[in-house]
Amino acid sequence: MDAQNLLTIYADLQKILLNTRDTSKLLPNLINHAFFKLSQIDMHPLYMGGLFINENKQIMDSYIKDAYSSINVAENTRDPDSTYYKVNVMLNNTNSAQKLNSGKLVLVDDIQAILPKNLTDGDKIKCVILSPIIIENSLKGLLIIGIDKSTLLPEEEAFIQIMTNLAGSAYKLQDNQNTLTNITQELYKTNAQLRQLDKMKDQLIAVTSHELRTPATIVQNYLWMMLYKSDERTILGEKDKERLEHSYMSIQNLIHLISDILDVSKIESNRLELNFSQVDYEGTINDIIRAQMPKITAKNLTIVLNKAPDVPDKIYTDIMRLHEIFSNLISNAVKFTEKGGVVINVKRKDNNLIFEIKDTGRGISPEFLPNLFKKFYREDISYTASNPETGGTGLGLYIVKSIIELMHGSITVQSELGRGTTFIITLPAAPVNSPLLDTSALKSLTSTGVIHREDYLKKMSERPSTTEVVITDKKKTILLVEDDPDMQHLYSEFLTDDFNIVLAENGLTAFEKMEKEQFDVILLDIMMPKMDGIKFLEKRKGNKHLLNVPVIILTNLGSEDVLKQCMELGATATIMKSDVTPDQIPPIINRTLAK
Amino acid sequence: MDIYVELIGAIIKEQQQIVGPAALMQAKRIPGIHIEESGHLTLEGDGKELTQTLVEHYAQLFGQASVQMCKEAIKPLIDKISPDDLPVILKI
Repeated sequence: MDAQNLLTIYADLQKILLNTRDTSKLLPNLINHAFFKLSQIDMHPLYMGGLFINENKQIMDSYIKDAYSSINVAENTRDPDSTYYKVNVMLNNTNSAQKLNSGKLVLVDDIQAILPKNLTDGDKIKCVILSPIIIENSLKGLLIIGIDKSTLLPEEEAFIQIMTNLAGSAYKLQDNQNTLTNITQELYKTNAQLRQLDKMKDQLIAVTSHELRTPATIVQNYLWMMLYKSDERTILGEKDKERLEHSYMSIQNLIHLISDILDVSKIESNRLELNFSQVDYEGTINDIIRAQMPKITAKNLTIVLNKAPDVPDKIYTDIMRLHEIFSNLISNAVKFTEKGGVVINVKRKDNNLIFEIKDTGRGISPEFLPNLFKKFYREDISYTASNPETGGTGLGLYIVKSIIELMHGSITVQSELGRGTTFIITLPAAPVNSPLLDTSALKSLTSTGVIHREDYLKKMSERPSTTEVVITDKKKTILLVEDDPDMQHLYSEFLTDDFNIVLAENGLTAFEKMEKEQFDVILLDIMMPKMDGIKFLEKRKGNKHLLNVPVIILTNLGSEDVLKQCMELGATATIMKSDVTPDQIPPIINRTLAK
Repeated sequence: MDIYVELIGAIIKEQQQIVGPAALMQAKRIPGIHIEESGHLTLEGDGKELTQTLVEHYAQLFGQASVQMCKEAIKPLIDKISPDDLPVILKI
């Protein structure tokens, strides 16, 4: 036998192992090819098998090949004439097992002691070679080769041993892979169950927050109307006004708490998604300053925004979340400052924008600073809880930090008791390639309606102005699709000055009304019985005539996925009921109508 | 948008929620599924076959439970595709 030939065969068999992608086919592939390769030299195998055993000498895997059939997996059988059965008996015989454990080849002349009687060409087999597969110093299997001669040359014996080691490596790889696959699949099952539970939790939080927000929004809006939309019939005394203001502030805090809980839930389940676009951050900060002006004026504070000349006008970020960050930090600065004021500096450093929010407030104690961005941590629980002006949930800064990190930015704080606090935010000014490819890279796979959201946010943050009123000779008619009677009453009351209102308690009734009457705009709730907002939008898509009537989603449902779905189904804008005051809705409707 | 781009996108996103970055890495191994650094997905070849191959690939790695999750992932899109165009592996 030519040594060069043997090396070539060995290299070929190695290649077969390396090229087998499906590791479960490593052993059958190897045995199959080895059978043919050995036929090319003088060994002429008539039968070849590979059997693998566990610690208890039980056969775990076995592959059999002869000249007349393709490779097959030998079944666990009790047929006393099967190789499977015979090898099992032999392995339980101490003498045979001892010989094999020594790692040497065993040649068996009594063919039928190993192979089945009725084997095709069985009479041509003169000898059966049992080559032990030793892995980690113990017998893990056997390579069984039936040949047409009674003896082996030393080089043939050496070659069979090399081949057996190759089979052992393949088995080890296959076994490891099987173990890994089993573990992966078990982990997958657990993760999939967790994912389902997570979805249920999100749904529960979304529904619960919706149910909590709805009555809170009604109370908030009626209080707003009593405080700021008083007419001759409602003249409030100073004491009543003060009580109402406290109630209004408390209900706003409750709504913020619900939003914060929703945000934390999204952050913790990695479901907080950002929708990037070019954002006029200066406009956003000015909007927040405007919203804080009543408090700033009441406390006789000053507030200044300084922008360095080399700072770009726009930043590539998520406008809604940027609004949330600055709103939180600026309102905190105003909240905890009694004298002096707040300065907001915007600078540029390399490709980043640096925002400093500096106040002259009471400062943060050094002991508390390390806990500042942790969930539910508040410096002085008694102080904050007893004072609705300074009370909070202890979630705001945790949310702020999480959002900033998601934007690939950072936040730090410097503070001195009695002198004030400075928050320093660093945000990338340009798009950043996300290293978190798993959560963000596929965002472009779906259209997210970013423009709508930005548009919505701009509208939301703008105060009503007389110049925004659409000049028209007659009142426009709104179809308000809303199931909650209190909400129906509320919106009818404050929209009725500017619009004609027709009510529908669900999507189905809305379609009935639309068959009889023309509407200029539809205000649509999402969660409704019989036909919800999503189903309404889907059905509307199939009716070209109805597509001309713009739909504004008016909801308290905190699921961004659902809001995105609404945008994809053709809604013009979404309004979170709890985030707007009644005076902000007519301008949004008018703008939609003007388009 | 090509319905198969939507299907494959939804499937990869769902698998990402369960196994993390491995889902995207494995999807990129399917010849004909191209995912750019930006996340933009394009298909080259028969979309139905590519979808079938991707789900089979996930099933081989993660087991039958992954097929169920793929079916869950495409539920919101099921009305957009006729039963004949749906890959066999995703049929309910």
